[in-house]
Amino acid sequence: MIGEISPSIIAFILGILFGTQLAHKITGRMAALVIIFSIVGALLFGAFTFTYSIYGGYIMPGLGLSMPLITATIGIIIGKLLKGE
Amino acid sequence: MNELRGKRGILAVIALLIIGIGFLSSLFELAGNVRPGVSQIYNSLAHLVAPNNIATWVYDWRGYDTLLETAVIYVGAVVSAMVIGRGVVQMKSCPQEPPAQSKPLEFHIETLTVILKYLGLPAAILLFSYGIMVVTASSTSGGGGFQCGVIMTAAYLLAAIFYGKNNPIRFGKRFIIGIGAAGLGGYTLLGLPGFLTTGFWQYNIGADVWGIAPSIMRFIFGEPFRLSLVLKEGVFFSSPGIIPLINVAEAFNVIGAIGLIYFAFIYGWQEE
Repeated sequence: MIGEISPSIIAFILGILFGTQLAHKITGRMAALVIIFSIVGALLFGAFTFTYSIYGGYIMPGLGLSMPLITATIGIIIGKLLKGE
Repeated sequence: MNELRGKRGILAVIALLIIGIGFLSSLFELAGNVRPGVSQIYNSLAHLVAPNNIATWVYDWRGYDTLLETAVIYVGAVVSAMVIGRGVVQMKSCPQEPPAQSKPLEFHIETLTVILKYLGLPAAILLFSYGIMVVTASSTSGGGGFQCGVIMTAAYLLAAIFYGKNNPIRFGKRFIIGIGAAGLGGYTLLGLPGFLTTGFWQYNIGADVWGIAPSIMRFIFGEPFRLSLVLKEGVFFSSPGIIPLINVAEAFNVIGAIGLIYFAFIYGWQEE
């Protein structure tokens, strides 16, 4: 269902919006760090309720990723890149 | 009446007219709008909206409550900053006494531990992501706007404590005011489609519990968030409708309100 991917898209857009408000330089290592942390966090939170597809973050029963957390982090980094230094 | 002059004044008058007409027309047709035995209707239609009745009521009835709540928060933030902000809010058009001189906040980044110094910014970024995740979860949980706002502003405060005036999260006053106004205005305007098509202000035309919304509006506001509910009783399809969008607007408003307080009290506010 499209409702499983909409939260990720909204999270990505909001991430870009708030990423433009970052003023500190983000190095490649820091970007990798926050993405890895967000993947770990997404695993801990699990997929949203009533999500059954792989693009919604569902992998198998009891195992899933909270995709909006990851897409929000990526959006924040992209927003920062768009804003520049 | 000077406040109502210019472009902003015209916009304010239009907004007041829309809200006033909607409110008065709701009162005028109050007798027809109140349906007795509403619990029976919800019992029969609840599975079309959410997996349980409580969530259904939250989806359909929280509108007015949260709209006023969100307005109260924003006005409260502005008034707090003006009244107990020791003069940090200075308006161009209103000559006031200079702000009270107080000892500036002292930040000593060099005293931070290595962990805080280097992981403070990643922690703030991850808090941002967490806040965004919370608000996007409203498709299945019904809430999250207020929590998102609190989490995001907590990230702002955290970064301010760590880095002081070199705060890596630069919420400017234009951004804070703009995002708060966009949230409040967005929340209000999300009630307009329901009013125009069904006569009910803030009727959730995406969920359309009563089946009275035009199919095109139901498609536009309902389809993007439609989920399949695989339950023991069978597979059902439901959409929270405009609730996720309302939650985003609510989050914006809370970020604007609390961010305004932090901004005014931590950094001070000089319009000139």
